This record gives sequence, structure tokens and C-alpha cells, in this order.
Amino acid sequence: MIVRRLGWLLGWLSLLLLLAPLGYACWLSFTPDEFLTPPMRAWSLRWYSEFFRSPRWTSALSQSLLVGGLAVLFSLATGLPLAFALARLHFRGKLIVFGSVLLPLVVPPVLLGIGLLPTVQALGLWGSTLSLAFAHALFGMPIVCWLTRAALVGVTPDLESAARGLGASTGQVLYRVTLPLIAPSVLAGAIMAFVLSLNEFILSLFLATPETETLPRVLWPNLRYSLSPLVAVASCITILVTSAGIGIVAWLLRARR
Amino acid sequence: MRVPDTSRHSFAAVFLAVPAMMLLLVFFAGPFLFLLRLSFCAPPAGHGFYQADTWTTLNYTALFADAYFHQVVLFTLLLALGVTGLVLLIALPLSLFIHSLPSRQKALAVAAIVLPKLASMLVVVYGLQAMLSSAGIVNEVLQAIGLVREPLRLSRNLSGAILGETYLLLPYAVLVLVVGLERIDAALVPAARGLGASPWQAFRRITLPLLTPGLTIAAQLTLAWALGAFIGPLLLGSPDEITLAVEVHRQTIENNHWPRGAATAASLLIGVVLLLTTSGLAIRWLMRRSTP
Repeated sequence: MIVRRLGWLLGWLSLLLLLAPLGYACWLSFTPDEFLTPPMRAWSLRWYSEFFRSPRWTSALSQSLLVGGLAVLFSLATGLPLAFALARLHFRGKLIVFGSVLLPLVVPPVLLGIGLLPTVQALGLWGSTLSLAFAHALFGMPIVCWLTRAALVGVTPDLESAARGLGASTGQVLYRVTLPLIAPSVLAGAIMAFVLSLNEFILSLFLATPETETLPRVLWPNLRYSLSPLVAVASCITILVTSAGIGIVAWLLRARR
Repeated sequence: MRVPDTSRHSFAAVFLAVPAMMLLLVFFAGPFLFLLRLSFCAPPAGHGFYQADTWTTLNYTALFADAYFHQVVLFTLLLALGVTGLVLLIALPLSLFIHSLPSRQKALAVAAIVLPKLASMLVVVYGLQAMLSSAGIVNEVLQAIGLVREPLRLSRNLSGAILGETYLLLPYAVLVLVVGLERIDAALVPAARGLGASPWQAFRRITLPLLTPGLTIAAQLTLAWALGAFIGPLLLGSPDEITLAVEVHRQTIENNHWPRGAATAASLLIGVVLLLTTSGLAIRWLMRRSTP
């Protein structure tokens, strides 16, 4: 019994320890001081007002939101049709296609980044917001495809054939039956794609120029050469958005069951 | 039952798969081919990244003759193996713990694992840097309880690099193992216990063998990512902790010697693929031997 209690305590403690760097960054963002000292008695929003007054940080934030939105769009445009093909059609090489879609998630991103820069340059996309969005869609597309495919497999074919039997056309079945049923999973995939793009750093390190800097890309030099509390503010903002995203995704996927 | 018409399906499937395959072709396969091609180009003369339409193996011969490169390869390998071992050592008990929780607590625990995985690596490393600094909370606590008198140097050295990379890679392994544990028939362990097995025997004879595929995937994923370790060594290590990925970044972005960097990256890529296939084959061989 005591051993079990101890294991339970140790387990939650290690989970807390895993979250500690994120919590610590958020805590630091409320410091009233110039340095990285955690606020004990006096908390202040001083660095937040500084963050939102700084054109560099705010433009990076809006650039991150823009890239994220575009990445979601590209992920949906590519991931959704493929999910339908994987879930509903029989064709040769299906496993290979599914495997290759997941590949971007397992390759070390540094290797992808160094190849992407000259590729993007050869395509004439260097320094464009589009190049970042396409690169980030490499991570969003597999997630969208995976979640949508799972939802489609979960929709019983009986429902669709029943609708068809009652006289619905293929388009009507899609819009009135299938899409409403898979919508939560598609939305969850879209949110995941956005969160992945918002937090993606290594590809942005290779692709972003001073005009197209995303938030993590601006964090980078600050992290290497100074430890200003502004970094903590930026960290805290992304952590909040990310946790909200995870919460919504968890809720969406639970409602389906 | 309707018999699927494969030929008609193939046409529709191609149509539906085109957007995704285009994305992968242009922005995933393309870059890797470009990377390989680039590693055979002559270095830039004056401006640009490289001289197009040149073929030379000089980048590789120079690289393999370089004693410094050997040192970097060795360090990358040792760091990756050490980090992978450490990650698995922590991830296995942690995933067993998460698996044992009731469903609501389990959801919370999984969220606690997913958040640091999804949060930017930079933010995790920033938090670690701040925590481990000489005025950070770890040193304050250590000094307050009288364990050390002087602040310990915890980052900007080897321990920082190892700790950082472990932090970054742990969530992946835990998630894979939790999924692996969920797939095991929940009735098996109670059945074994009912037949008189001790908790350890049930774990050793039931859970562990059935978890082997999950463990393999977790180990290989962690190893692949650890071989590409970049942020941890760069931000939490010292200039002594140079991995291949850090070296690639330095040669390309910092020194603008792209063909040399591409050759380094290609070596790393080939190393990762080789290690993954050989370890995969070795594990399969061992499994076949242990289960007659």
C-alpha cells in the first residue's frame, strides 16, 4: 500500500517536473524587475505592456497567426481529400501512401530545414509567408489526415447508404450526413495544425527572413544572447494558446465518443 | 455485399491524393534530393550559397579526413545513445504509471505530457535555462536546504545538453508507450495474477513482451531525434557540445558554406537511416530467437 502511494506521488511529481519549465517561464513573465527573478510579492504586467508596444514582437505575433492560418488552410486542402481516399477507397499502395504521409513527423527537422531553404529559393518562394505556411503544413497535413481518416472509419456505412436509399444524391450525403459527423475531428485536426505551426521553430529558423519572422524566430536570438523577461512574455502567450488548443481538441474528440 | 471496384477506385484515389502528394513531393522529398545534390556542389564563389551545375566529391573527402568531424560524429553518437537510454528509463515507469490511472486522471496526465511536446522547444529550453541558471530556482532550493554552498553550474555544459535533450524527447516516448499499453488486452494481467503470478512476474512475462513493439518504436523515434539533437546542445550546452546538427547549422547559416553543410547533413541522414534499419533488424532477430 505504502509502495503504491509512493509510486503515485512519484508519478505525479515527475509529470509536474515535466511541466515545470513551462510554468516557470509563465511565472517569470510577471516579474517587475529587469532580470529573470521570479516575482514573489510584487507581480507586474510591465513586460506585457512592453511586449505589446514593441513593433518587432507584435509584428512577429501577427505573422505567426497569419502563417498558422495559412498552414491550417493548406493542411485541410491536402489532408482532407487524402483521408477520404484512405478511408473509403481501395487502391494499391495504400499503406505506403499512409506511411509516407506520417514521415515528416519523424524526420529530424534540422535535416529538412537545410534542404528546404535551397528548394524554396529555387522555387522563387524565398522570403515569402507562403513558404513558411507550406513548410508548416508538412506537420499539419498528417494530423488532419490521421484524425479525419479515423473519424471516417468510425462513421458506419449504414448511415450513408440509408440516406442514399432515401433518395439523397452523393453530394447531399456528403454535406448532410458525412461532414456533420466528422466535423469535430476535422476541427480538432485544424486546431492541432495551427498549434504545431505556432510553435514550430527549426524550419522557420532556416526559412524566415527579417520580413517574415514568426514569434519563435524572434525568440531565438534573444534566447542565445540575452534572457530578457520579454521572452518569458512571448513564451507565456504561446503556452496559453497551446493549452487552450489542447483543451478544445480534447473536448472535441471526447464529444464524439 | 458490394464488391469494391479497384480500377475505378484507383482513379478516384489518385485524384484525391494528388494535393497531399504534391505537398510531400515539393516540400519534403524535394528538399532531401536537393540536399544530396547540394552536397556534391562546389562551394560558393563570391555570392550565393553554392555553384550550380558543378559536381565534386570534395565536400565528402574533406569531411571524412577532418579529425574534428570524427570528434563531432563520436559525440553525437554518444549523446544520442545516452539520451535514448535515459529517456526510455524514465518513460517506461512513467507510462506504466499513467496507464494505471483512472480515466479522468489519465486524461489529465496525457495532457501534461502533450503540452511540453506541443509547446515550442524554445520555450521549454528557455524555462530550463532560467531554472538551471546560477540564480535559478534549482540552485536556490539546493542552497536553501543546505545541499550545496555555492551555486552549481547546471547549464552551459554537458549535463545541460543531456538534460535539455531528455526533456525535449521524453514526451514522445511516453506517448508512444502509453498507446502501446492501451493496446494490450486489459484482462491479461489480472488473469496472470489470478493464476498465481507475482506483480513482477506478470509484468515480466505478460506486459513487457506485449509492449515490445511499442518499446521498439519509442526507442527508434527517440534515437532518430536524438541523433538530430540541435536545440538542447546549442542552447544548454557549451561550445564543446557540438553535435552534427549544430555543426550543420554552423556551416550553413553561420559560415555560409552550404555544400559542406549539406555533406554533413547527408552523412547524418544516412547515419540515421542505417542505425534505424540495423536496430530494427536486430530487434526483430532477437524477438524471433526469444519466441520459438
